[in-house]
Amino acid sequence: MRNAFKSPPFLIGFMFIAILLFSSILNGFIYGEEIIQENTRYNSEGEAISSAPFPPSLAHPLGTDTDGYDLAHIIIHGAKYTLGAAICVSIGRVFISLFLSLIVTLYFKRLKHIIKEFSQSFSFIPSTLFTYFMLVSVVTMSIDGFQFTFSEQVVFQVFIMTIIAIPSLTLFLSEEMERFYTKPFVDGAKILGGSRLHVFKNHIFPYIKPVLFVSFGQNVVNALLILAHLGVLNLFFGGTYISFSPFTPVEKNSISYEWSGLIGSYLPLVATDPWIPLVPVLFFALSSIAIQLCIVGYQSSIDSNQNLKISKTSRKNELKEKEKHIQVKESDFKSVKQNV
Amino acid sequence: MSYIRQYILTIIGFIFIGALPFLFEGISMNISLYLKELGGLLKAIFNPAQLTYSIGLSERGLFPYLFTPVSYSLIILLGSLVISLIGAVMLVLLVFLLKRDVLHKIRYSISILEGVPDIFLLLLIQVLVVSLYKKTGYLLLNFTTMPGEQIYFLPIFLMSILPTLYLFRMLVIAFDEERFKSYVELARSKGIAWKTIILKHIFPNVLLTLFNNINQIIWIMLSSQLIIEYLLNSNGVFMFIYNYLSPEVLMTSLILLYTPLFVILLLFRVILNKRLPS
Repeated sequence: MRNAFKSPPFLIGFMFIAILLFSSILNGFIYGEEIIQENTRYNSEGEAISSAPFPPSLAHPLGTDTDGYDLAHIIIHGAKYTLGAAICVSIGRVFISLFLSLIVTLYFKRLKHIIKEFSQSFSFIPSTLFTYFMLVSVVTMSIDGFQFTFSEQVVFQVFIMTIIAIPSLTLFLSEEMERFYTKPFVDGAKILGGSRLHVFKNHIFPYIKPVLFVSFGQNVVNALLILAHLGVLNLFFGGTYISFSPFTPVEKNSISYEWSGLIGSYLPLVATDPWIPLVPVLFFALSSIAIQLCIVGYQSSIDSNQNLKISKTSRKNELKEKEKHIQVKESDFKSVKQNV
Repeated sequence: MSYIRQYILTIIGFIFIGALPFLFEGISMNISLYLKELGGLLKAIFNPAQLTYSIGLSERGLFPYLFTPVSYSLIILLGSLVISLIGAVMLVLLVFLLKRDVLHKIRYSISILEGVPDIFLLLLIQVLVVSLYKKTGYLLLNFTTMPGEQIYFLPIFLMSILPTLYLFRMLVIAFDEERFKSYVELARSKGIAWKTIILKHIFPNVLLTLFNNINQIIWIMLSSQLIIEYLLNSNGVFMFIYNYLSPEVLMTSLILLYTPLFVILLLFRVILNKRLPS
């Protein structure tokens, strides 16, 4: 893991996510729930010259939405919810699947193909549709208001998004483990009296660790994708707020400015003010690419690490070869007369 | 025999999934309600004629109406799968024949592109088309669908962009691993041209690897098909499920969608197994 920080792609991706998360949390302390707003722009004589939405400019680097809220500020404000949710979901998926796959490989090897065929049914249902199906009754607001509190809805959504990927991830991890459990060095460790825990901890886990890191990254990307899709389907993280006020048209809003809600509520503007819906989608894309960069950097650092090891051993081999090739001369031998 | 068992187990999986929303009453678990719904779905699957979906207050029979959206979605799915397969294979053959050494370099870097969410590409294309129309008055692609109209070109085009990338990456990795194997070396040492080796020896083997990962590709495509159908407002099966969401609708649509895919994949597997005894 330490080597990964030396690879530029990993560093770029990591810095992007870290800065976004850090500034989002810091923003919570400085501005609280306030968002920078500019509704109308005046000239020097105090006359209104234009009104929101403003396209991207120096004052508003990503422009403003139709109510004049600064989009860059909204994005930073919402980053902690969206990225945090994706990271939590991914951690949950990886840990639970690791635990389950360990149980499957150690105790229920025969059950594996049944689990495999059973989890096939999960691979023919789009995960977005499934999540939507499970969440729609809980997260959408009825005319009497929300049934559950914000934190309850958040926890439930994270829980559902975690469990949907567990069958396939468990299967994948247990197949990876099986690959190493059949290696001769595991047999050796078992014969020498290594307990199950010892064999796993010292002989299997070092090989599984990189797999875990990579699947953690992949699951963050997957969770972000599901969040973006749910946003398109008007199901927002932490609840969809629907204004039933008779004076305004029916509006669906996110209650926390998280990104999937931004996609959903800005999507109708795509024909008139295209930059507004593009901004949250762009940030989904950028963070997914940042995570992919991390994965690529990590993988290449592992590869170069192995190459380093190989080159070290090959250097040793070269030395041995040289020793072999030291020329043998005739003078090295003494002729000995045999006494008969 | 194992195929039949796999089919039945998957169908049972669909039934379990269909009943899942009843496992949670609000956000608390209710297992007895789940089992009851499970029983109801099991009964329903043996009387398909009585399956209904509700529009407002009135109820209508699922069959035979459901066949229309399912066949429409299947045509789009299979069409874009075939197009992205052809596209990816042509791309990788081009790269392989022109510059073999690039494969190893781009092996990791193209997986960065996989981070691009489909919704980003969709919106970008839509925005570009709209701004082109605003500037020149030329409408490159029509993004609106009339009710009852079925469009094929646009959804197939949009759906085959990302799978082409995924398949391309898979093929690059498979080709990169395959070209150092000993049978390739043997063929090279016999003086066979690269072109023949690739087309006759490497390519069939790579196809097999590709085929083992086809489920994953289909899963990714199904996910983006839902969003594409939503954005284009087309009359596919996912919009049907979205509009008339209920356990019966979900279960029946999934079974109808899965069965032809299963048969097609099975046919391919049988053909491939005959041609490659290993």
